[in-house]
Amino acid sequence: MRTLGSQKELSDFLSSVERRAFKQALYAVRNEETALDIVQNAMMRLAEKYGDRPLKEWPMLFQRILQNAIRDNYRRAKVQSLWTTLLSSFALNSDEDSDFLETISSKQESEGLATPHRRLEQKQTLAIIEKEIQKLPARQREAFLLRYWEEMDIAETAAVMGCSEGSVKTHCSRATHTLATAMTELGIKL
Amino acid sequence: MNDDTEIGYKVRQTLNQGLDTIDNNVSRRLDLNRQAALENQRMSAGWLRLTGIGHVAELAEFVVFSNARTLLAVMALSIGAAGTYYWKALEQTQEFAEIDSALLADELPPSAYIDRGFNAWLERASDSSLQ
Repeated sequence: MRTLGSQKELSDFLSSVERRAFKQALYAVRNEETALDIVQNAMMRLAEKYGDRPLKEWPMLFQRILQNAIRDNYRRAKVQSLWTTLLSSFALNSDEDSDFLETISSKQESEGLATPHRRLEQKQTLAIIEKEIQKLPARQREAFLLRYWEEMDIAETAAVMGCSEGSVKTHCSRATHTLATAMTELGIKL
Repeated sequence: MNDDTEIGYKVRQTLNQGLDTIDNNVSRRLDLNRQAALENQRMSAGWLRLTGIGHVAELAEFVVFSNARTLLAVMALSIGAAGTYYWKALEQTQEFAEIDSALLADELPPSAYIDRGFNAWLERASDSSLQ
């Protein structure tokens, strides 16, 4: 049956992208629950709004929905952070600017210290790379992951990110350079 | 392959290896999310009408049939309006014909038509003809 085939196609497609999508969201928001929510929303939106579209359109549509969901999350978190800062300034005498990413970054780092050392070199390398990817500026990380992990070409990446192809090239180049430098400094050879 | 691309694909390989280490709870949640999404998949109406399944198909049929009902109602209204207009026009024509024949039967001279009392006479004549 064509209908069942289409449902199977969507199921196969989502199975093939869901883990990478989760990781992408996790690198961006650095919170497992939030990352899962983002992926869930992206899957739901793709199925509800574009479930009847041809299979070949799904990868770009899904990435676009996912990246928008990640950006929306950033905006919400920033607004929330702003209100928290404003309200807490009445109670606490804080003279530092609060940044959402810095806050969760330090939290992540303190959590990271509590985790046991990974014994396998591969796992260590993976952890370091993932951490370096998380440190990248949002647009650089987005461009890098779309280009090299999702294997999109420059035009597709530009369409998903809503920017020019030149910007994609710049973001990708900077991200690659940053990662390569970090790997060299840490003595990691890929 | 330039340096950037080479580094990019090497990082990709490492990241792909990391996908296998995703926590079981996360994998389960992703499975559930996928199932929930599939239950809400949008289908084209054509496929559903062919297979005859799902409430979406019923909705599509309802839309088609309610459109047909609307079309029939509009057609009936148009036919009614046209009929009323035709009937009124026919009545008016008959009225004029009656007046014309009354005038001709009386053999009036043309000057009578510009007579001031003509209208009064006409009314009287039409009243008497009705009686």
